[in-house]
Amino acid sequence: MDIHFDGVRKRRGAFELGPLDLRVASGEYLVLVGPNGAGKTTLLYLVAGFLSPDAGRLRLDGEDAGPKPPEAREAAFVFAEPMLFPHLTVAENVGFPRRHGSVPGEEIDAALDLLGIRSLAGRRPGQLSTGQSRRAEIARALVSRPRVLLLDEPYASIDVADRGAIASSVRAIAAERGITVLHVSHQEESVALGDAVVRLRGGRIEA
Amino acid sequence: MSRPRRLPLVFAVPLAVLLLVLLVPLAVLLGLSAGHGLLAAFQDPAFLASVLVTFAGAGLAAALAVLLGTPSAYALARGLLPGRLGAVVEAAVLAPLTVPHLVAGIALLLMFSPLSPLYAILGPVPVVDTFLGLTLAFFFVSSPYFVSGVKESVAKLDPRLELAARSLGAGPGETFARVVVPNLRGPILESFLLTWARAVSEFGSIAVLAYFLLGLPFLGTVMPASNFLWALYQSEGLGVVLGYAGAFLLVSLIPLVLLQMVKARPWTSTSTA
Repeated sequence: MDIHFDGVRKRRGAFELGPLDLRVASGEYLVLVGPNGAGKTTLLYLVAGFLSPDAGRLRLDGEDAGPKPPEAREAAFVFAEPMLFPHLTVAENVGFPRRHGSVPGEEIDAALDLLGIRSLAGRRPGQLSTGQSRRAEIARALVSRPRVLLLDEPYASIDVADRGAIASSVRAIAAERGITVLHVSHQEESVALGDAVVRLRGGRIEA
Repeated sequence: MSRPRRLPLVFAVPLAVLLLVLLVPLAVLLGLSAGHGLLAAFQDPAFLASVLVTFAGAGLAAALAVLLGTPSAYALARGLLPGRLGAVVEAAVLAPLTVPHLVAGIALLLMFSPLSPLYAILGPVPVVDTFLGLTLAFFFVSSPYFVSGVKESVAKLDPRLELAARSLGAGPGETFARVVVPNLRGPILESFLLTWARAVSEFGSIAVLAYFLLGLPFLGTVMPASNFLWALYQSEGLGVVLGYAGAFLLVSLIPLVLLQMVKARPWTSTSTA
């Protein structure tokens, strides 16, 4: 999915993002870096449809995103803190998305395998470490077959030893499926994952 | 071995006074009723029918509060109403908490009476001295407890769970049904029991709207329990009503006991914030 910010502004309290002009091509992997309060998460929220621009236009595949609610944007969000549904097991969480009908068991298993958490399928989120929860969340996002993947510090709490392998796997799947990725990170090592890097500071793109 | 914690006097004294004020009257009533017909009350078919109809009507009202109150509490807690409308609607929903219950009964009675501008529509609805009227009065006075309790629990639920569900393709209704409600099972059940308990104890509004319940299936003409006790107190005096009052007190503790059992159960955490 092609994402186009055209003079987008968004105010949240004292902070203002933009005016933002940015184009992310369909299938591109964009890494967003910047200090806390730079506007990275606000930018992801705008794409997800959790927030609406105060000014300017956000276009998805050339169409104004304004009237599209989050569920119609095909943009799966992985939050900075784990947001697994507490009442469901890991496998049930991964099988939650029904945008394309019920998720077949083998697809759930494949996602669990990819993230190395098949053995945790029957556990509840309260029985997982933060890193394990993140893996489950990424698996759930992939199972929803998104056209856009919005990753907010997705690997921050995953062991350094596993981080590279998981990030590479997600990167490969995104490329294979043509998923556009917006990946927010504090870690400079994530920059290497991206086709492009955007540095935000004070709500604006650094030159 | 750890020493048992001592409650500081600054907390112990008010707590003790509170317990005395709340429990002593009930203990005295139970003690006296034991020698004045407590057991006989449980063998009186008219009293048992009144208790049955009271619990049934109160349970139905509480169930209705679950159906209507859960989405309403969610909408209020999440600020889904525009501008100041949310505050106005919340005040309206909670208003029955401050309306004297006798007045609530009169208001309900008038709404269905020929004096009401809605009489053309509501007139044919049989609410006076019917099970429907009893349930309606119970719902009116007790549903705010449900909305208030569930609203507080919604506020503790991390809204990002709902955003996550939306980003995975679930619409607002599906998110509510598949994420919000399952994570509020405990609070919903607790609030249901509290609402049920509150309705069981109601007197003022049902004294106006449903003093007798005429022609109930299997039970014939029945008085709700509070009305039954009041009528007995008026006609026979304290000595006769004592056993029934003790018996009604005991059965009215059932929702409270169930509530404590539910609270002791480890429900899924409702707060991830």
